[in-house]
Amino acid sequence: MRWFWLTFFTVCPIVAVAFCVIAPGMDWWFPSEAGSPLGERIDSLFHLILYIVTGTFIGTQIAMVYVLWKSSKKDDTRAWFSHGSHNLEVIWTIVPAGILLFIALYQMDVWAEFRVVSQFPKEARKAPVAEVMARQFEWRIRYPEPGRILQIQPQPTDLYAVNEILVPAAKPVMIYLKTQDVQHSFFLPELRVKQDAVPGQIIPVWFEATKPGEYTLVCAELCGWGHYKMGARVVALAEEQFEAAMEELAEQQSDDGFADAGDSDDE
Amino acid sequence: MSIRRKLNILFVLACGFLIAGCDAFSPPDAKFVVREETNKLTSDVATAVEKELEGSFGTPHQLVAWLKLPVDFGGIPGATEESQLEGPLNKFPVKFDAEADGDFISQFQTENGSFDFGVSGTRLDWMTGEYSGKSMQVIGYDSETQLLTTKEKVEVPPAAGDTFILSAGGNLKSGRALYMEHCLHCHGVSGEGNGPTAQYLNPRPRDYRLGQFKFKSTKPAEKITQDDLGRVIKYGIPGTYMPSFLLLDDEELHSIVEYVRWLSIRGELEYRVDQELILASGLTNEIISERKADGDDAAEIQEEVDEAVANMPTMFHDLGDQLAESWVLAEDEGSLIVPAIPRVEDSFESRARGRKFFLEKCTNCHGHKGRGNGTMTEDFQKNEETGELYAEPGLFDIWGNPIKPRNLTKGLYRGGRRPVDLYRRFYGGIGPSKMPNFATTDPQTLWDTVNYVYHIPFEKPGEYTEVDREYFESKKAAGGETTTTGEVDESSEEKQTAIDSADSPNQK
Repeated sequence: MRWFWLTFFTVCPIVAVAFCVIAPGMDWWFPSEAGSPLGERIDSLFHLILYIVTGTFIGTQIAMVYVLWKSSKKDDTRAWFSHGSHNLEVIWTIVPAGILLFIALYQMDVWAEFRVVSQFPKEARKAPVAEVMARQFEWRIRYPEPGRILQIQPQPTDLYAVNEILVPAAKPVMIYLKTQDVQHSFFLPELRVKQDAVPGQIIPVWFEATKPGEYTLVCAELCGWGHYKMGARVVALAEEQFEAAMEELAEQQSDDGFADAGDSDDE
Repeated sequence: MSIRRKLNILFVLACGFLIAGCDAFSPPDAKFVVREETNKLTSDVATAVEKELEGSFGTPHQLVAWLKLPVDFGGIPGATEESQLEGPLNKFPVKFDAEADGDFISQFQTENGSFDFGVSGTRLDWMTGEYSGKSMQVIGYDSETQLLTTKEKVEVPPAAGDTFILSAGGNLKSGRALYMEHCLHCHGVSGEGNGPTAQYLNPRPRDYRLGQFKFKSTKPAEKITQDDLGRVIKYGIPGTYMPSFLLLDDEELHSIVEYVRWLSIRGELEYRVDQELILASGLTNEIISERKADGDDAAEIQEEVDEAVANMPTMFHDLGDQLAESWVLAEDEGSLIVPAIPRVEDSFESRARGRKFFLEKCTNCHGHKGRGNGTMTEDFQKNEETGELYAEPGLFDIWGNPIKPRNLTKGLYRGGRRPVDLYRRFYGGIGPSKMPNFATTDPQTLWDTVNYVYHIPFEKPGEYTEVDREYFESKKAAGGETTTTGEVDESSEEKQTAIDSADSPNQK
């Protein structure tokens, strides 16, 4: 039985490490590739933490296995009790504190770029593409008319949409996030963006979709019984296509129903 | 008893409780709700109504496609082809109708080109020939040889030209599945607008069972169109709890629309039958017991009841035809509200004309400033059904829910915010909420009013003071010169004062 447990506790960490190594290649539990440059940097922070944790894990497991095998030999050596060792306690307080401090400092510029408005890319800050109003249980969007700048107050020429945010691709864009009722959370998993919408506040959020395509938008804050209904999408379009799409939206919005007797809506 | 044994017993017990518990908490069986009016009918008649409804529409578990209704129940029609195969077999060559061919491919072909008919197969109903009226389960199809494979083996193969429908009612069934997932919790199993989450909502979810909807593009008397329902589901209704279901694809949207229309027809049919039995025949328990108390012959009453019961299928048939016709008519091009002229260009002059029309027609409900606080919202209104005043002041819709006229300063338009949407709201009114229609008003005035209403949220203080002064002065002048216009009848003076006094609280 002794040999069983010795082998068991030796093999377990090896298997765990082996799984960790092959997991990303097999696309098992890592999030899919980040769709934005900032997302890549956020991912690299995750990876850094993962490396630190893996290193710690391997180190502690080696130590444990070593102790296990060494003390399994039947000799008369007495055990050494480390409880109350001042030196040891100082070491295991200072080393993790140092690691945490390092992480805290290392991630600061990514954090600032993600959350601090003055650090947002200039071109995003200059021209917010839309106001996104979260409400129970949908996302209502207000765009400025093509060629105009989005104002905080609604304008007569504004364009409106629901549950679909059009943005230009490969370009940092900023939205104003609001909520009409309770707290919601604006979550773009593929772009690694998550921001709470807080009643009474207008929160600027920026992101950049590297490639044109559709990205999932969901609410990540339990906002009521219909929380699950708040699925929507962000559609990133190449610059010209985006402009064309906005023109089309403007045209749809000014439809006076005169020409098209058949009411050929986008049904 | 050893510890291990105790643990085993505990485990078995826990499993037992778990299973029993799951069963106890399973949701109640889905049932179509019976109208209050049906329950008022005398029991024989009520049973007949319920039986006939179930015959024509089925239950939520067993839908019935009543083919006279203009609903796309789904199903892919086809026929068998000449075959050389013999003996007990479960394969025969088929050809689908030209239009249905695409449906078949899109419904059953998988991405890698093979065909998938689900785990237990897909139902095929024979319409003609040897197997007419029977059904089989289709489990495979070969696109090269066009051979359909069924689960059942038959001795005699179906003759060439025998027709069948594959997956009959498939659209309605997928509509039901989506409705149960997305809509039922507010709108209820039978579309009665009273699902479990409905109680938290204001405004209340729509009750489809009157066949009436607020935001439609058709003329006042017509039903709503498929496109209108699709728009509402796709984009939601801002300012209410109806959310947008933009992520559903077109096919799913179509299924839900058809299911809602089907529920609506079912509900309205029950309502109309009840109305006829109550108002025309007087077959409620209450009336019958009164009549009995008055000394009417019981046998005579029973005869009337029997006649109504015997007559029930015909009644359903006739009313069903009427309803089917009205829903078909809604899709007709002539039912759509199409502005006779393009939108009048937005200018101060146009808006000023709109403002005058607004002062004349809209302020009683929407208020002088468009805040939705007109005098009607403070008055006691008459319930048209009972002829009595409502217990509370304010406006009520046809479902008896209190409603508020829209506050137009918010820039929130429930029925859509395109100019054509506003135009249609004015032209067609909102029947169920008793907003009157202005179908006879000239289109230019309607467009002027559209321009004005669009601008209300952006109105500067005092922008229309001059316009208002002009309007009220001309009103007064017209009031004083009734004799010279020569087209006003005797009661005009009285009417004039009535309007003035109704308007006065707003002029403060």
